[in-house]
Parts: sequence; C-alpha cells; structure tokens
Amino acid sequence: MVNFGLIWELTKRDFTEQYAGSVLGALWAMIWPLVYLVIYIMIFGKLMGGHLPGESSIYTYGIYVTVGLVPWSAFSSTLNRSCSVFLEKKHIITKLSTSLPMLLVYVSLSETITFLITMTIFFVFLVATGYTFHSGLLLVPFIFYLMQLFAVGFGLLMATFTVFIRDLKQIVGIILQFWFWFTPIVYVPQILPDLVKRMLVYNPAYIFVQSFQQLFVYQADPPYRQLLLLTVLVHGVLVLAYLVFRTLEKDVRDFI
Amino acid sequence: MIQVENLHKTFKLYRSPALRLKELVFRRSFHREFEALRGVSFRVQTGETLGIIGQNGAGKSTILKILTGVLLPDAGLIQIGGKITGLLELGTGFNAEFTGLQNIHMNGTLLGMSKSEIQKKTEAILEFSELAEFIREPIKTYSSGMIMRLAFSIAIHADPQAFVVDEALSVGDAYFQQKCMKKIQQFKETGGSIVFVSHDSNAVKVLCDRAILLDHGMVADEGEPDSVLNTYNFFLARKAKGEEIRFDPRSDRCRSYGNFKAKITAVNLEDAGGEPAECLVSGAACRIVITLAAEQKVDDVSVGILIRDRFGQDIYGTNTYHQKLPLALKRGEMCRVIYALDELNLGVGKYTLTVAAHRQATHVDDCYQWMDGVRTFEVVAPTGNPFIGLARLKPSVMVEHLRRHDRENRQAAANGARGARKA
Amino acid sequence: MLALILSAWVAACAGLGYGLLKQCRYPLNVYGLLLCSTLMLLGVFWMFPLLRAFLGC
Repeated sequence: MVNFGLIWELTKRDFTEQYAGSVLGALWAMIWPLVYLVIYIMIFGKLMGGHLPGESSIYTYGIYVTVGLVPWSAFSSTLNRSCSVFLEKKHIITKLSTSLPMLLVYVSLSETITFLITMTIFFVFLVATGYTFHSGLLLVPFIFYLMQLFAVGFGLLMATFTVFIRDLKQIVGIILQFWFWFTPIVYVPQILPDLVKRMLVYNPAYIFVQSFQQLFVYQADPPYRQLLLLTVLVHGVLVLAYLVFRTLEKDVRDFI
Repeated sequence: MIQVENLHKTFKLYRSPALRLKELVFRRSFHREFEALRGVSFRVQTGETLGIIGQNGAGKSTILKILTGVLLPDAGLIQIGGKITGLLELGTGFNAEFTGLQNIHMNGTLLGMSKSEIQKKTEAILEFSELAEFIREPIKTYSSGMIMRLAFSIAIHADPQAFVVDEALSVGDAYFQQKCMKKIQQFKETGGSIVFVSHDSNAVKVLCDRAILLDHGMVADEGEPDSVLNTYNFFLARKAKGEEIRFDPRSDRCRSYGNFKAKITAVNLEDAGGEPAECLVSGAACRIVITLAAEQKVDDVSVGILIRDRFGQDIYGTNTYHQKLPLALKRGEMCRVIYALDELNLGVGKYTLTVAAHRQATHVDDCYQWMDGVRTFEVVAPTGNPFIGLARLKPSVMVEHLRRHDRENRQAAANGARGARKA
Repeated sequence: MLALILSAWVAACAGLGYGLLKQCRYPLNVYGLLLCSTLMLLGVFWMFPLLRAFLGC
C-alpha cells in the first residue's frame, strides 16, 4: 500500500512538469531560489538598509529575513497545496488504488526539495561572506523536519475537509497571509505591542522561525523547551488528522 | 483468484458535500441513500474470465472500482490473490509533454511496478507496443492509437494476478487487437483471472467462461454466458414500463417471455420441399414460418428471427421492421410471417433459431413475445464443393497460367506505361 | 563527533520505524512510524544541549 516509488515519481514530476519544454529545463528550479535570495539579502538587507538592533554587519538583516522566509515559504506552500491535493490528483485517485495520505507526503517532499536547493545556495553565500559556522546548525534539519511534519498533519486535515467544503482552500490562503504578518519574519519581535508579543508564544510558526533566527543570526540556542512541547503537539495533530481522515476516507473517495 | 462475498455499497447523496460534515457535527442525517450493491458475491478462479453484464446503474462500475481499490465497500469481503490491475485506467498519469519512455516510468509506477521492474520490462513493453523510435518523442506527437498501444503494453506487462477490463478493448487497429487478445489468452493460461464488464453480448460470449447478471445491485443470474445473456435479454424486455412480462409456463423447451399482446403460436422450419425439417443442406432453399395470433389490437408488430451458432454467437438476425414490412393486427386476427431463404448460406454445424414479436426495431420497447432457441437445426454439407467455416461464400475460382517471359513482358509493358505517364 | 552521535540516533529510530513498517499491517504502522518520529525528535531536542556541553563545542 505504501508506495514510495510513486511518491518519488510524483515529486520528480513536479519539477520536470513545470519546466517541461523550456530550454533551461530543471535549471529553473535553481534560478528561482537564487532570485529570491538576491532579493532578500541585497534589497532587504543592503539597499533598504535594514539593521537589527545591536548588530552591525551589513548582511545580518538579510540573513535574518532569509532564514525566516525560506522555511516559512516551504511551510505555507506545503499547507496551501495540501488543501487541493486530493482534487488536483483526482485523475489518479479515481482510477487507481492509491494511499491518500501519501499524496500529502509527496507535496511536502516536493517543497522540501525546493527548500534544500535554496539552503544550499544560501550556504554558499554564507561561506563566501566569511560566516562562522557552529555546531548548533546541526539542529536545522530536525527543526525543519518537525515543521514539515506539522504542515503535513495540518494539511491532511485541510485536504480532507476541502473535499467537502471547496471554499476552504481560499480560507486557508487568507489565514496564511495573516499568519505570515503576525509572525516576526521580516520584522523583529521587539517592535510589536506588548499584547501581541505575549501571544507569540502560542504561535507554533514563530517557534520554528525563532529557532532558525537564533541559530543563524544570534548563534544562540533555540528554545528547547518549546521545541519539545511542539514535538508532542505536532505528533498529536498528526494522529488526530489521521483519525479524522480514516473516518471520512470512504466519503472522500465517494465525493471525488 | 478473486473472491467477493456479500459486497455492500451505499452511496449517500447530499445536496452539497458540506452537509456530510454537518452530519458529523449534529449527528443527524442529511442525505438520501442509493444502494449500488446489495450483497454481491462471486468468485473468479485462476485462469477464468468472468463477465459482468447488466443495465446502466446495475452496479457494474461500482464493482470494478471496489475491486481496483478506488472505492471502499460498506461491508463484505474481497480477497484477491495478488496484484489487480484495471484496463479501464489505461494511460492514467500520461503527460503529453513527456516522451513515451518517461511516461512508461510514471504509468508503471502508478500500476505498482518498482523501478527495477520497470527497467527490466521496458524492452518488452517497447517491443510489444511497436513504437520503435517514436518512444523518444513527446507523446503529444502520437496518434490516439499509438497512445492506446503504449498504455495497453504497460498494463499487460505490469504482471497483475487479476485483470479488470472495461468495454474499451478496442485498442488500435485490428492487427494490434489480435495481438492483445493473444496476450490476454496467454495471461489466462498462466493463471491470471479476468473480470470483464461489457454491454456487448457477443464479446461476453466469446471471451468469458462464466457470467453474472447484475440487476439493481444484486446478482440476478449466474452461469454459462449463453443462458445469462438470455436472462439479460428478458430483463431488457421487462424494462418497458407498465407492462407485465411473464415467462410462458407452457414452454419448457425454450425460454419464452413477453406481455403476450400478440402470441407466437407456431414456428416451423421447412426445407426446399416444404416439409418440416431439422436438418438442412447448406446452400439449399428453406423457409421459416411464424404464425402469430393477436390477443389484443396491435398496430405496429415486427416479427424477427435470429440464428445463433452452438456457441450462442449471433449469426444472422433481422425483423419485419428492418425489412420495411409494416404489420398491424386486429384483436383475434392471425397471420403468418414467412422468411423464405433461397440459399441457406451457413457453414456446417448446429444452430438455434430464436423468434420474437415486438413493437418497432428492438424488443426493448414493447415485447409481445420472445422465444429463445425455439428450434434447433443442423446444417449439413452439400454434396459438392466442401468448405469450412460459418459462412458459405460462393467464390468463382479461376487460374491464370503465366509463363516466365510472359511475366517479363507484362512487367516491361507496365514499366513502359508508367514511363509514359511520367512523360 | 556531535554529528556522528546525532546520525547514529536518527539511524536507530529510522531502523525501528522500518522494522515496524515491515512487521505490522497498514493502519498500524502509521502510528508506529509516528511514535518513532516522536522519540527521535524528543531525543534530539533533549540530548543536544547536554551533548554540546559535554563535548565542549
């Protein structure tokens, strides 16, 4: 039932299909992240002259924005695409026996690959600018994994419900917009009013983003306690999502 | 082997899908139910082909979808000894921008083949599909026949234990169809099971070892394809609303049913001398005489005959509607319809004669009486000109002797003519 | 050294998950996999600061 070959083949398709027939082909999958990085670091950091309180390097703000935005876009794209994945892959689901939760894994994997490409380029940039690496960065894959797991769990819930309420995709899109601006990704948390600042603890996305910011920008420890809590919470969401999906699976297949 | 026991499937019909969630929250029902399958059981042995027939909405495609795992049943047991592949999903996941080779990978993975398996079989798939160098072109350049060829080749090489086949077995040209049939035969011999769903009676008769008839989600009949198809015909006749269709209790030699507004009182088969016969000579004259009595006033009767061979294949059938012979009977009136055949151009063998009286072109609208296999007759070989097969064609055969230099002369002449045309 | 210990830990959890996947039938192994994943992450986030202090890096 668990067909890993299918997940991989679908993921590969995602990249090749998008650029099929173009001259540069899959190279575009590298060019786009590069463009984004240039925008984040050069425009945000250098041209607009953004500075972090207490930091003097010209690149720090650029790095701050990058390590927030890149994981966030992986997270939000995964969630956004998850909503409609059952409807999008209708032609396969209605004709072949496929495990539906596997489609969520494929979406997440596809976004993860984009993330990896961007991060690789980002690391090259870091090396070039003489960034000092420290052992804390070893945590990055784990934090990212936890974040994608969250996206998959949440996404499975949304994907199941979207079959019944088609409007959910738009609603999730709007929620993601608000979520983005209520999370200190392009700004620093210090500028927020007190009330909102206190609410930040309950924003799981901020804990992820904050972890990346701590590791990359301040070379400090991520909030371990919150991460431990979040680990339990995320897996709870996954179990819940899976249970909901199992109860509705028959209807999902009937409705599609 | 496929074993299905007591399969139930109910579709819940909602005015809007969102009501399903409302149901979960409020614990109240917001749907109407449609029972697609009500306790269907059947078994397909290894190497056997089972035909499933039935009218639209009888639950055929629901069964197929449950067998392939696309839909989940409400209750019931399904056991499949191995992988099951459907031919109804021919070419799922094909992308027009990609080359044939790339599509083999995608489609193969979807059909549950592993990467190494695909690599091993690519050669065989290429050979079977006969696409040759086209395989490196994007499939948007293919003709639809070529795409079907590729799709079928992948499906048959996915090595399933069981096959589920929908109507569309018309893959490509006649040559490729025969190749497919041969491959399917081979598949059966190596122990694969096939479930075949079709409206095409003849295809079911030819392909299937056994058949089941579905009616309103239940198995209405099961057995030899021949007898099941006859029941199916009876069901079709019954479909005409408001009429009571019943079996004629008196006849046990053949199956007879209808609403008996008009009754077939006698069917006779006569040889060239006008004597009743059960043995006819191929190519000789004969007559089929049907006597009809109207119980009520019927203003549009067509009386038809249908000759079937010993496999139940339709060999020839027509009726007075198609012969443009309108017929109306008053209550109590009787008539004889005579089909006179100058030459019975059938091959040697046993045949059955089915006759019917109904309104208009087919028996589906208003079936007065249908009699399956009312007469059995045998066609024997004529004294001269032996032949084999079902049809007695009458070729005129001649032989032209060619001498060697004669042929050369002709060729030269032909070349000359061609040259002349060019000039 | 730190990286080595981390990868050993991940490999152990992945191995456990794979074992569960092979052993159990379909609906069960999803929960098994999630359990392994929880274990792995909890282990990492709990051990990491301790290990860093211990190894002095």
